[in-house]
Amino acid sequence: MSFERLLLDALRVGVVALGGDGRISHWNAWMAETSGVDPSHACGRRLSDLFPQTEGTALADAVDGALRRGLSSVLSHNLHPTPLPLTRRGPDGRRHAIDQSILVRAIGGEDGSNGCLIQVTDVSAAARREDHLRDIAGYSRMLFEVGVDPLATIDRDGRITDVNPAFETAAGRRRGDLLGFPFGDLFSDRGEVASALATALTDGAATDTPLRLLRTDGTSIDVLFNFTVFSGPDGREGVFASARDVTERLKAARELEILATTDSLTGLVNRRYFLELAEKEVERANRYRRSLALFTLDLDHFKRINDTLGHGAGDEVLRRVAETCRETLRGADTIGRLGGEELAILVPETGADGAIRLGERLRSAIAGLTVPVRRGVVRVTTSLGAAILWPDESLEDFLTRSDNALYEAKRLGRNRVSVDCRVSPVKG
Amino acid sequence: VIGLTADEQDMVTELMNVGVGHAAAAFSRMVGEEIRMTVPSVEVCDRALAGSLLYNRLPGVLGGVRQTFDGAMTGLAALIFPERQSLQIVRTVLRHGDYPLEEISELEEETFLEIGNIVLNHCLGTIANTLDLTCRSSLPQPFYDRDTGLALTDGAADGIVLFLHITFSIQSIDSQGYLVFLLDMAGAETFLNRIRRHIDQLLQG
Repeated sequence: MSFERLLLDALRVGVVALGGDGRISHWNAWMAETSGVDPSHACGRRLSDLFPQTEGTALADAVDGALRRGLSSVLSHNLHPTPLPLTRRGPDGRRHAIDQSILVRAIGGEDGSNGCLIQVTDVSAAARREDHLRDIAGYSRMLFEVGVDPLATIDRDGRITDVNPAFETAAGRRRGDLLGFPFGDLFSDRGEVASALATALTDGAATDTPLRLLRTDGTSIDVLFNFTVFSGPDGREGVFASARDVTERLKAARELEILATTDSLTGLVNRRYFLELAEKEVERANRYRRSLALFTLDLDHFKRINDTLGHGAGDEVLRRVAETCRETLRGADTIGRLGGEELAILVPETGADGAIRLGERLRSAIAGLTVPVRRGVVRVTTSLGAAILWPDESLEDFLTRSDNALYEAKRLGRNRVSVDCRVSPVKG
Repeated sequence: VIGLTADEQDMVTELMNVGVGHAAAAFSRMVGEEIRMTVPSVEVCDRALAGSLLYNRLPGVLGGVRQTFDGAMTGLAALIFPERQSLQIVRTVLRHGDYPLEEISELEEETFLEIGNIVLNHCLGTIANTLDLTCRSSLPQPFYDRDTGLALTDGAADGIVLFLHITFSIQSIDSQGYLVFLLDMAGAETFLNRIRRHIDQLLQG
């Protein structure tokens, strides 16, 4: 066997040489194995004799161009997956079509005419790998695109390199305007963004960074950002930013808080929250030795209104009384509805004299109320009790004394104010 | 610098348009999609000027395909696009979508090579046929930087450069690139003599 032949057969690519007349002069072992055509059969024949299906194809054109005009050509796998009917045995023992890349090289023939060398490479593995990579890239891109959370990528200089549609919607800007835009400029606090990005780049991630995203229409939304460092396809580091829009959640939390602390009928502080506030107020007054008055207030004969005019009328009366109290008192005073027709009021910086005067103002304001109901108007009076905090007194005792004063006012004939003016039996 | 008369200039432009026209037709048949290519202008200049033209008209990273040829004319032919557009052309042809992979893959690059190969071969083939020259081309090779692949600015400053603006349209993509033919001195002389002879024949014919 000739050295030339040994060399060609050792190659793990297909090699076919054609003379100027288009007849095959070399057909290596790889070609024989993959085509099933023996070199002795191939040599002296034309490609179209062996494979009639190649006639008129790009491969035939390339061979013609090489032989007649001396032009070399590439037949890329993507555009010509299988120009020749070649197969190879797979791991499953069956034969599979070979994905090919073909080079057709014009060479000088021995007689001075053109010849050509066809080189066939098996790119099945590369084709599978690229299909797979494209699938993965397409899949992750799809996840990015359909994500309901705003997502963006940012380069080391803090400029936006990519955004998904959810981000466009959140920012109220188009993708084209966002690409290359400084990420920090989208937010109310640029410094906060810069420090979160710096943290991410040093530590690999920065989580739950609360930011306010400024929209082009002047509104803003509250978002929680997670920043994660990733390594891009070009090897450069970037930051992947994923946001959750927490505007609704914050709003809901605020609403929930209001709901949890407010009496829905009167808009006054509810019992639980009033006691919580009172606890703090008592503690504060004790610590700083400030005077603090506590009123308890009960509408007289309220049950009668409910029974004769209905609950709707009773509710309306309660609302108007609450409103009157608010109007009469200062902003620093806390009014709570302890239950039914019973209210309580905390008034800081107020001693016995002040409490008497304030109680009287409240009593007369409420007595002067005329509440329109379905049949005419209804008037209501109120009994008020008040106590002034004793040094180091507990809220419980304080409330009891105020309550006792209220009972005293009721006992004395209602529509009156009773203030517990006793001083502390213990010297403070 | 070798100057061309208006007639000669027209003839070169005409030849190249025939070449890229054939290339576009062959390519359209291959991918089953209409592809248009035109060569609106041709400039004949030396290497230094060609390098400068390329540098100023296509700033940024370039991608291209080059082939050498020898025979009656010896030289180098290249098709050059901004790198991003090369990728876009390939992705459009292959319907691979715009985004999935940032970088051109091995097999995509091979397809870009084939695209360049088709354009360059048709231009060389048309020149050879029309001017009755024979020359042999090498296989195409890719290159990505500005001019190392072309050696436009290296010491061997003799010879001429045919510098052609080329437009490439497929679907909604319109790309602007350049076709560059570097001819050595002898090749340049042969080429220009044949161009003049061809014009004479046309005038007499």
